[in-house]
Amino acid sequence: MDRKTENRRKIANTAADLYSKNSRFTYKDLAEATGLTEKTIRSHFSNRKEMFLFFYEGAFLTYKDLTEKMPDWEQYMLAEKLSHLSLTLLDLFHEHRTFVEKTYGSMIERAGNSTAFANHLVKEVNQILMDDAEMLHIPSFFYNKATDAAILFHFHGLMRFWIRDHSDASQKTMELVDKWTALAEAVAYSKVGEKSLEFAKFMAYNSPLNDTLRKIRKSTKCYG
Amino acid sequence: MDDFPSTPYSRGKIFAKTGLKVGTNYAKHYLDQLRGKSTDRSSLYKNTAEDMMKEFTRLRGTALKIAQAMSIDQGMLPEEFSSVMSRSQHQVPPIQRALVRSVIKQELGDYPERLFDAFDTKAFAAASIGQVHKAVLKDGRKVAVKIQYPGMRETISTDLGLAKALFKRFVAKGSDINPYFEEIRDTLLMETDYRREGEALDRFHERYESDRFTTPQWIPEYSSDRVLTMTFLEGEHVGDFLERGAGQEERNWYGQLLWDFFHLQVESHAEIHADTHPGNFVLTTDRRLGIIDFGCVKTFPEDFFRDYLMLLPTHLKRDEEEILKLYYRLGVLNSDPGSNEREREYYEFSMNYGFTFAMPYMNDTFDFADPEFHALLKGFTRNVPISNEPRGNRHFLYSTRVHVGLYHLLMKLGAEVSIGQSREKIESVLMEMSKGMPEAQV
Repeated sequence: MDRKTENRRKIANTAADLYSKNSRFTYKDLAEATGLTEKTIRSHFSNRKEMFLFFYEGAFLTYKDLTEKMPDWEQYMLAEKLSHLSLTLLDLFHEHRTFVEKTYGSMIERAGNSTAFANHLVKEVNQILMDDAEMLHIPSFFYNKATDAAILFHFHGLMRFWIRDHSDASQKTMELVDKWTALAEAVAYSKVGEKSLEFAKFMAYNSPLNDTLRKIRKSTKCYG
Repeated sequence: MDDFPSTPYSRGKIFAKTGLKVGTNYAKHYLDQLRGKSTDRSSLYKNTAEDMMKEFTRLRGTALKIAQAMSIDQGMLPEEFSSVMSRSQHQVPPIQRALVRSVIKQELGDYPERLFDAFDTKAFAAASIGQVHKAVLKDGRKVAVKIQYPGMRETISTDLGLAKALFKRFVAKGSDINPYFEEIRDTLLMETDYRREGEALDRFHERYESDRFTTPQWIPEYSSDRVLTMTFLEGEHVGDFLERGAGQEERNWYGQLLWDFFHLQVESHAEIHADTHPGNFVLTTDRRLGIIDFGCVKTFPEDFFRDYLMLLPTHLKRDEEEILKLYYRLGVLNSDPGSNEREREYYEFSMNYGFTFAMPYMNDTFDFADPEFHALLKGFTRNVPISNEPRGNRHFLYSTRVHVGLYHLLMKLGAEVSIGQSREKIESVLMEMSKGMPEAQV
């Protein structure tokens, strides 16, 4: 993380803490809290929304930073890498929990794939999946908008679970991550994934339902 | 198992009539009686155990603890079951590395690579509710860091519920297994409290650290409810020790330390390390006995503890009148063995088992390598007549576990142990305990 990013992250984190106490805090409050001038802050962010969005992007960048310093990350199994990504982000969110609880839904979840955070996340998961040596060979065309959406869908689900999780030290969420990633790994390494793909490819061209599907599509087009 | 009880009853009678001769001739005679009958039953149990096993492995770590506690000593489950069960220990999946990191972060405030000088992400030992990692503190001390699987406390409650439902199918109709399950639940929940274990570490260290014994030191700054950091004890586990073919002198040395450690605990009658499992003892390079894992430390209620200890002198003296009183108090007998056939089976079997159990205390030394003694103990556990009906005070679950565990360890070592003053010491503890205590009601 370069110095500029580091500074941006500090400002965004402080803004998140201020927000959780008073959602209407001003640039002046932020300047006081960070010890920077309002001018410097404005040079980094033109508005508060930008700041808040950067809080999430910053969390991802911190995850990257932490991961690069881990000597054994390369040896992690698929489930471990996916868990590491989820749990590290949650650890970072945990430090600003109130802010995340209040803003994740509106700022990240509802924004779909338009945020920098969502893009980083999707790219990272795709990279983890593609780098995994033990995984069945899946052609790159398989990774498309649908898989990207699925990745986001699952992460949002995890965030909703975490926000509702009031167990001691969020142990339930940790268990969920562990069990879910273990399942994902098992499916990825199993023949089920490979066979499903073969089957889907075959049926895409040969299904007797294709005509019906085409008709439905046509008719919806007429009315739509 | 309706057809079975008649045989051990007659066996028991032979034993009782012959009296307690420790001579090999007698033991041989008794064993000849035992053999031949046991094989059919044994294979029958094995199938049941395998069946049960399949269902049990789905329950992960807690199941193991339950089976350990409920195993042979209680006469509730046959030996075959526990041997199948112990295999499952290796099937408990390890906590994955990403989760280990986050648990440490949650519990200790930072990631392991920043907290420690070195942290081995691969666990070197598995506990049934967690796992242990080697690490080095910033000050250079080598430590063991025990980490608990997230959500363990809740898992225990649900697992116990399932296990209970399962057990009900195997025990005799109408027998009350609730007190045993309560005992197990209490103990398991206690084991999930790592701060409590840390405090136990402190007390044992204070009490036993010497030129003969050593225990790890708790490091509270790196510990929480679910993470326990303690100094690492370098040494050999009993298994490795035996594998390299240690000589008799060494075996006796460590056997003696184990025997003495047990009796020192009885003498102090404060609390007892109740997990007498080979994995919990190490033999250090400076010839000390290292005791690890203080998750299961028991303080027995005074009256139970006294009655339990009383079993020794009464069996040594063959004081049947006293033995009978004790059996009533300890819940071994429900009614008069003189008029009730079934009760008599329990009575004679328990008494003979008790005689065997007291054997090591009869002379000044005892050789645990004695194959006859092995076979005799094994014969008893293999031929419990009460195989599916739980009996006895719930505290037996752990008191026998400690005692049987000790004998098994000593037999594994094949150690010849000097009994010395152990017998007198137990009697003096009893004297002390009975002071100011009203005679228990019979």
